Amino acid sequence: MARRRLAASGREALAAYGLVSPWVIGFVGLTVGPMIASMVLSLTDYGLVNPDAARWVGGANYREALTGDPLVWQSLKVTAYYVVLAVVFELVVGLALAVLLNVGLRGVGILRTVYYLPAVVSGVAVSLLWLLIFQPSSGLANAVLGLFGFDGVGWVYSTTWVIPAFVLMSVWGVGRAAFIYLAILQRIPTNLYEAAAVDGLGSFGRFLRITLPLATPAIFLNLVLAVIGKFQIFTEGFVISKGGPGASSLFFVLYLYRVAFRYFRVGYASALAWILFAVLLALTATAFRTSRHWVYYEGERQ
Amino acid sequence: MSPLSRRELLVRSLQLAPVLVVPGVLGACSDDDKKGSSATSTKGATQVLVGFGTGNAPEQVPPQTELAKKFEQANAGTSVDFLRIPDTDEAQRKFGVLLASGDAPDVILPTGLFGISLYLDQDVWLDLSTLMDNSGVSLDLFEPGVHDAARAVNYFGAESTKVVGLPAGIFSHAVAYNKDLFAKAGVAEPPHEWDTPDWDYDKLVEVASALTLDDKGRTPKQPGFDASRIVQFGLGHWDTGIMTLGHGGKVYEPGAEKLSLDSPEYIAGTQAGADLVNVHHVLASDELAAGVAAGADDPQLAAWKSGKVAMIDMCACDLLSFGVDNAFAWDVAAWPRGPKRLISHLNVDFGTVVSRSRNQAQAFELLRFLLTEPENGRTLSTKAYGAMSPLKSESGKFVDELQGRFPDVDLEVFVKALPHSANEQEVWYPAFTEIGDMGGRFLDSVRQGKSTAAEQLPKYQEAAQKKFDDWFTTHKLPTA
Repeated sequence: MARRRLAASGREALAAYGLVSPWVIGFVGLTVGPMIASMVLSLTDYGLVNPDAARWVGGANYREALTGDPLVWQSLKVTAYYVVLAVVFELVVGLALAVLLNVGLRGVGILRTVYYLPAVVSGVAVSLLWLLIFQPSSGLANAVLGLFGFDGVGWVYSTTWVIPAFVLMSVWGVGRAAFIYLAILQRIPTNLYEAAAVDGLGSFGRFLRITLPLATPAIFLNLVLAVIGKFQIFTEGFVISKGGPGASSLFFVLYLYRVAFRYFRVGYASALAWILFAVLLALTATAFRTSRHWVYYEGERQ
Repeated sequence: MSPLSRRELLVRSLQLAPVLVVPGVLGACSDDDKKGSSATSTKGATQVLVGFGTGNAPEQVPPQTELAKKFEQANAGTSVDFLRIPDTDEAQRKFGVLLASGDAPDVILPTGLFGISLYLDQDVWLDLSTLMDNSGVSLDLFEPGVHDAARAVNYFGAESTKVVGLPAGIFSHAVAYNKDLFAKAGVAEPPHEWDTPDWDYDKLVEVASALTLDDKGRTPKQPGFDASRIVQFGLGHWDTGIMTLGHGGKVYEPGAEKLSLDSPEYIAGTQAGADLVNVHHVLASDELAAGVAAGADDPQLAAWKSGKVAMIDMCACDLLSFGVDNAFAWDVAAWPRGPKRLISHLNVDFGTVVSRSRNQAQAFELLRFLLTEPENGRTLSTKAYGAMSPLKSESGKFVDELQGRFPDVDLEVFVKALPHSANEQEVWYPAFTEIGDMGGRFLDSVRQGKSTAAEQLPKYQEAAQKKFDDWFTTHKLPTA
């Protein structure tokens, strides 16, 4: 009997492995394989046009990136500036939006769909749309500023305003973060709010003492996803500003792309990719390490 | 029917898996087979990338298509596929990706010298000399002025016999002007004769200033002029780079070990170009042009066509875009003289075969057919590109071919431009692409009036010189 049970569970395990195998094969073939390949390439001077002439250069690409290429630091600086602003923006606006969408108003279901729609629209189309909005002389952004008596700014044509313009653009995708918040907000028991109301807490107090602490797992998840996602910003810079003016919007991935597909230095570009991976790994690890101090999981022992 | 248990679902799914997987595998195999047979059936297919410059305006396409059909008829079993990418930057990016994917186009036609220089030290271009010898084609068929560029002597050296492209068109530049705006302002039209006394950069600014208006109708020289509300510009679509040469500036002297981006001449010329926008307020930058013709893909083209720009730099290759369907009278004049030189831009276009082409002989045969047979060459260069034919046998036919299309335009100005034209901005030098790309980092702030050329160009020189020197640590000149 025990043997039959074992055989049955073995068959079940086999079936499970069979079912997950397409993903495993895809992961190994399309993710792990290229990662290993890029690690090896990063130690060579592999060029796109003459790959046969590739030579082993050891850590030279990493040395060049970290000590001899000012554009690496410039692109990291630009990207970090964008990430800090855009992540804060996404976390705050996303949470505010989720709180609003959590109110049981009529038609809120439609609103939820509407707010999520931008997340599924093509990045290139969105970029072109924002390019029109940010036209200095005829765009909507400066027209709105004008209504409040402010002078227009150069937006994507200005070294000062190009990154803030991209940050404003990022609000377009905030629906995804809002939905993660919404999922957790809807699980907060209403009796907690009722008890707090009985204790005399106002709506802001209830948000601060109940909603915010219980939403920290979603904040944490959104923080990690946003940092990883924003660091990889590419389409907007590629379509709208092409890294300019100057190098004021030369995002790291845009520079990496330029090195690979304009200068054909695939080995060096691979090293840049691994540097970005290391940066993201460090930031994510830091987020996880600090999370124990500020993320509250329901049911977890304090 | 009893519901499936979880275990039954898993087991049946597994049993079903081969049924799903096998057709998938077979499908994948048959897909490969299809690719194979496709490659066989299109053995004579030649893919031509059009996007490294001119060639994609609607008026330019039909002559190319007709010539391609003619080639297909003359060469049974062959076909010509055009890959058209209207934006030059995008075309270059796409080309890089196609090279990387092993799917490179066979031919780039046309490409300017700049496009050739971008990839010259990457061995992207096939040396055509052997194929030329085999088919009896010689550079002697073409005007001598284009030979050095076709042979890329800056890279391969003067003694080299290599040829990287067959000449496809010669484009000189002139100043196109809106006659209606000149008449309305009561300003004398610019001279059509080259090297006319007093027609210099200072005079250009004076004329452009009289044709620039803010929303209250004031010119930049009048009190109260509001530079933030310009509704008509004296200049647009302007080549400020050539003004640097007019001031005597040069990026590089062939054979020199140093760049000269920080020379007084280069600084003066760069500053003069930026001052047109920020000091004189007569030139529409792309940003300002977008303001007078909102929502267009090409703001400079739209601004000119809207009749709100008085003068532009017009390449002969712009004739079929900037020159057609204008609702105003226009003509062309000579470029003004700079403090050190009278110079206007010269574009020379080529047809190249990509070294990774899997169909090199066929690709060269297409180039030979299109560019060396006189009638085809003239049709392509003049009717499709708006260029002067580089073929010796066809020289002088540019005006005859196009005058009917532009009866009120003094096309001789383009022909007479040739002795005053140069393409030295596009000639290869070590680390050409990277040094060119880094220019924006230093020069955009000058163009925006936030910094000066005197401040930025020494920094540019330092960074560019480092790239220049680095190039020699990883590359060797073929002549070395």
